[in-house]
Amino acid sequence: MNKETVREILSAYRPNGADTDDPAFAEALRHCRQDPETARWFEEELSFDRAVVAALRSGDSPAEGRETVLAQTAATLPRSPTRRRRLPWWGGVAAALLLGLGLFSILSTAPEGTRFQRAGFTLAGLVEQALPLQHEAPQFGALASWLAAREAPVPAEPAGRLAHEPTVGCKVFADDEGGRISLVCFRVEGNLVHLFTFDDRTAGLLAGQPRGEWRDHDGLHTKVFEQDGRTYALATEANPATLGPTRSGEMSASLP
Amino acid sequence: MNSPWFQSLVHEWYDPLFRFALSLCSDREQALDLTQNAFYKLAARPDSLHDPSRAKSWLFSVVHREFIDQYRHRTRFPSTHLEVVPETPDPSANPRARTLDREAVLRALQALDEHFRAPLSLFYLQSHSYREIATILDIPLGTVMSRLRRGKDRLRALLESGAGATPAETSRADPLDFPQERTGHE
Repeated sequence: MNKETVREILSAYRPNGADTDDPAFAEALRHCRQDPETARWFEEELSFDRAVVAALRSGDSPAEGRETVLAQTAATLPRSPTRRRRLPWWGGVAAALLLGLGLFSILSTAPEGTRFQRAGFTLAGLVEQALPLQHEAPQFGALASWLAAREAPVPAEPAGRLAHEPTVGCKVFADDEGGRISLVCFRVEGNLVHLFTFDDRTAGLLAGQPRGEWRDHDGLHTKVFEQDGRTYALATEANPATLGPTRSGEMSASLP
Repeated sequence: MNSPWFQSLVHEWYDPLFRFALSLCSDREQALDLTQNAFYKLAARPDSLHDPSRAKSWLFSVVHREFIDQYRHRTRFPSTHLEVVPETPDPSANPRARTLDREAVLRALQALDEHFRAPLSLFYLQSHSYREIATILDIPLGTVMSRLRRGKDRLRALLESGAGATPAETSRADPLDFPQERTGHE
């Protein structure tokens, strides 16, 4: 890696240190530490960047604009949309037929919670059904109580980064065999992070999946882990690095 | 009443979105319009956001696209207006130790080509990694880095040529002693 490449890479390094743990910068930073000339250049770069950030941040914020948005959109009831993919026309017809055929059995036999299929189960498929959430609340405790009241698996209270982020809501997935999966959804820097908790009957669905490592499925990052005998899965489309290595306590060993 | 999801989006991203819009257009009223319109679009058609986990990127992309549309319209149908004359450069100014005036930075950003202005504006919000900037602007990762590098050089040159740098003593931290704040967005 030559000096010019190092400088180009480090030009994208944010002065607040948010990229410290991004491996894309590791080699350039290492080079910088070993080369005094590049280090001086980087010092000047960060100094300049901080001055620009401070200048742009110095203006007043239009608080009234935020309130106007909330007031004027209140009547439209914007809700979190469902993550979806476009179907071909025949897909829509097939979906309608399946919906019609399955509706009766679902209504007559499904336990409380969104139905999921064991056949062909994938975390990505579960994420597809994550929204809309069944219950919305910004506190983890409120969601845990809601889940417990429905005899859904309740996740351990998160530590580290997720402990400091607001929750969005939760949901229960259930199947005909009595298995349940609960979902607690967090918002981290504008991105949704789904924490799925599996009970004894559904943990086997993840039997073949490696534990403790992030995997990328076409842009969806997932991680399966276990703690206190319970199986969990995290899923997000955000860069897992943004969740940060900020965990502490027992859950910290399992969360990313 | 809005859903908690939408409210949290507004509370979390209104200010960064407004600052991004202001950096693009350097006009408070226009920036307000760009920001409001992005949220109104989302409120009117939440399903236009195919993936809710990408709401942040979606909002910034909408502001950017809307700005580009308005920018092109102004280019085709220009109007005459008075401009603020930049201050005369202070030859004693030390570019290495300074504070920068907000208006001067906005003015310098306006002098940059839009190809540089948009990634720089997002970069200086510090809310977006270079990968997210690539997504929002729909350009390759390498292009983001290249434009940031060249854009910063041009911005620095503009400011040092007198667009508003004022000398001040600032502490010079060890460049490799990275600050610990990890606030996500400022």
